[in-house]
Amino acid sequence: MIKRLNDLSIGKSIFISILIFTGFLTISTILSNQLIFDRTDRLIESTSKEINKQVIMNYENYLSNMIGISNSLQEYIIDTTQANDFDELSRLFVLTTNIEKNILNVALISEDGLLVASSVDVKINPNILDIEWFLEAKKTPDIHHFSGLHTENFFMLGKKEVFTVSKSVQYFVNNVSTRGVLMIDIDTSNFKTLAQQTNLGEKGHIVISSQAEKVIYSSDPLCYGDDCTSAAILKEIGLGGRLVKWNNLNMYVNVNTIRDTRWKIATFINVNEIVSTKADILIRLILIFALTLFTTSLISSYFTRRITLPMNTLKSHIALIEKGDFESRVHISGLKEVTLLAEAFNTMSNRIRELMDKVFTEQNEKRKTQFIALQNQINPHFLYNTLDSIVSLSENNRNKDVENAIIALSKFFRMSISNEMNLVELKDEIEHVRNYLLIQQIRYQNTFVFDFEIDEEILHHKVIKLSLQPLVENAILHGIHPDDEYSTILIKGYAKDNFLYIEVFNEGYGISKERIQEIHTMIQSNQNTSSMGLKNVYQRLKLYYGDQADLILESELDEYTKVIMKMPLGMEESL
Amino acid sequence: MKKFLLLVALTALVLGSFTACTAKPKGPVKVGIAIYKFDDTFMTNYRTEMETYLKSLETTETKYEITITDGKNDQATQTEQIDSFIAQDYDVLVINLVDLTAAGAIIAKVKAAGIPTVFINRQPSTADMALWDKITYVGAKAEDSGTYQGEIALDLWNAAGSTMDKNGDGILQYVMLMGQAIHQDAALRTEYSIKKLVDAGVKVEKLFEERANWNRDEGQVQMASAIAQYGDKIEVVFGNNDDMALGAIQALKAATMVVPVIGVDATAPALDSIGLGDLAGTVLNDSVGQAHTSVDKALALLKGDTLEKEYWVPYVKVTPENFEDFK
Repeated sequence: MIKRLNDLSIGKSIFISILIFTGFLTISTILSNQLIFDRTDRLIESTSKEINKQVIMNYENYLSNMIGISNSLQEYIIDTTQANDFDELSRLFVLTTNIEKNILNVALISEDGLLVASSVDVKINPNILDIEWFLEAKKTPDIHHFSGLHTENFFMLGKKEVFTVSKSVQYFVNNVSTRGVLMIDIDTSNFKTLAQQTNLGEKGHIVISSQAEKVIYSSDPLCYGDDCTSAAILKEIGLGGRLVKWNNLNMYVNVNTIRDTRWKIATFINVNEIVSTKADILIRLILIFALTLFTTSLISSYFTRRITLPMNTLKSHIALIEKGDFESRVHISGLKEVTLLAEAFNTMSNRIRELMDKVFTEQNEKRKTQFIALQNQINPHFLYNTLDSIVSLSENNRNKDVENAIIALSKFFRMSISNEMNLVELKDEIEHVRNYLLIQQIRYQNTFVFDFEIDEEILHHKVIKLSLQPLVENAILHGIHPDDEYSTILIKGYAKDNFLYIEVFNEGYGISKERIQEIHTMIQSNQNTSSMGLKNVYQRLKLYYGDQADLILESELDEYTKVIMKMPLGMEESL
Repeated sequence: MKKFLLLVALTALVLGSFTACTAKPKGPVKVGIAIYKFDDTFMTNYRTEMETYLKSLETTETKYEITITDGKNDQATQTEQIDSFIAQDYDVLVINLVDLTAAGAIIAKVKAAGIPTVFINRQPSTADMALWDKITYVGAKAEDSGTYQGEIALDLWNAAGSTMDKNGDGILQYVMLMGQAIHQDAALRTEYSIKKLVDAGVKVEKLFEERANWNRDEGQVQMASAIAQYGDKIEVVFGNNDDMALGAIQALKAATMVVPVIGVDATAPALDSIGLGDLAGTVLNDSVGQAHTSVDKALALLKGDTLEKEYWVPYVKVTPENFEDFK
């Protein structure tokens, strides 16, 4: 998985990151919306319920006031009828209608429909036994019966709209307990005003129904009778509250019962604004969300381009380098990191080029050295002199010496010409030098002697081919004093402290300290000088072994000169 | 491969727990109890006893989760609580209605939800009770409280060596202190206490019958007035409740008279008065008995039994012999 992630391009990684980020954003937005909407819903619900309770309380207060009056009247009925004072009862009924303006008529009717006492002294409806409020009161004697809103139908005093509270009550006729029905007609205007007292919002309204879900009253002028939408909603909900669509408006409807009546009341509260605000918020959130997603995608793709474009330029330049073009330079403007990268890249390719140049120069130098060495060896002068010496040996019949000289010469050239390897074993190099010395001995007619003191264990160490010969050549050139006979050339080889030392010692004039310093400076410089042999050896040593290797000159005036070649051991494999 | 194995293991686990779930017996039986208001002493005893009794019926297989709500004497509040019981899928409800006239709507509601319900203490009308067969009512008959008052008086009358008939005329002269006229209980107690005596063949004579409106002070005033009128003729005093009976005792003491006084309710002061030998007896509305019966009926409904529409739990007579049991 991690490997797969690592394989992704920058563009894809950024895209996936944004996708994950927006995913989180989506989830958190949805969650917080859910929370807000839940809260809003609960707020709507609780507020609606509170309003509903308030409306109910208004009605309950109003109706319980009526029930209270009825209860008092019942006590009066018992008291007055026990005292057989029916006129007093009628007088009380009239008093009641005078005190409580909402009460239009009060009457006590016997169970068989005869008027016992009344606030108005007129004839009554002969069909009293069929009137609903009368029947209901007789049917359930324990409770007050509340009729619906109707035109006054007992005394038939006109077209006044009333509702009737009726209750089965106990009264006495000649001290004998009997039962009748107390009726109270109540003006509906206050009842209707109550509905308008609470703000239910635009087109908010209440519907009151009987237990049988017949509409008793609706404050919505468009709803009368049982056929209106509100009545159907009330019937469907039964009890409790919920959000409904009412004529395309969002209404929170609560249905509850009104205490001591068998009525149900439904409050239709207009919550359209809140609900549509909710939808508005949702739409806006979605818009903001989409916009955010769009702009972040744009921005991210812009940044991706700003990163990947220079990267691609860099990549093509790397490809150029792969092909060997070190001259190409990257010129990138853009993000800081990228320009830094480009600069680093340029520095790197510069450095590589420098290194390449150096290697090239070194290789060149080496070739030149070999060439010079070779040139030295096959120096026609050297060959001529040697052959001349051999001729004179031959004239003197020194046949053995002739033979030796020719063998040495032959071996010397074989070694010189063979150009297979850069490194040879020390013993081969020694052998080569020995042949050289033998030849030179013949040439200089034994004016010097030479000796080798090489430790056995270092004979098989590899050394740079033709590195010793120039030193010996140097020793012969500068070390042989024409006046002194038998000057000595001593070649020593030994290992010490992980270094291989080869010393070429010669007796002679020696050289001054200043001259040694001069020679040191000279061999380290790049200038062409007369002392090419030493310089070549020095530079090849440095080339092969690095700083650890050295060429050291020691001398004592009129005594000796010693050139020491110092090479680190154990580096043959790496060369 | 590992992922596949994990998937298989997970699936097995989910399926396993699922089958384990279906095999297990379902959770606790959820019983919702709606009380009309909490600060009513009688209903407090009632609901506490219901809870205790339900818990005592728990077995290792059957547990009861009981929720009791306070209607705060507001039907709208109680309706909301019942709504919430229904929304939470309660198994059975016990409802002590705030408003009897709401019964029809509530019954329609529980019927639609299919939750069997026991109504307690306030009896819905017969018409409302006929709306569904998974409902019943448990309560006490108000007239029984009167009948038991009559029985206490009858026992005193019939006791060997009774001196109750002070004037020896074979007629029981009584004083009746009544509650408010419109209270159903007042009329029923007044009627049935005397009816019991008459039915038992005791001749009675009403000396004095006045309303003292359930009130102790008014009871004392009315009794003083009765004493002033009838004095030693008074052979027994009935109070529609204990408070009025205790008021009567105060008036009697002031007149240094000793007459049996019988109340209703078995309030704490009434029981103390019995202990002092002042109150002859009272009648207890048996909250414990009613609590047990309503719980039993609720569980029977839950089981699917067909029940009667109403169950009556008798009142209990409280006299000097047994009053200690009710303290």
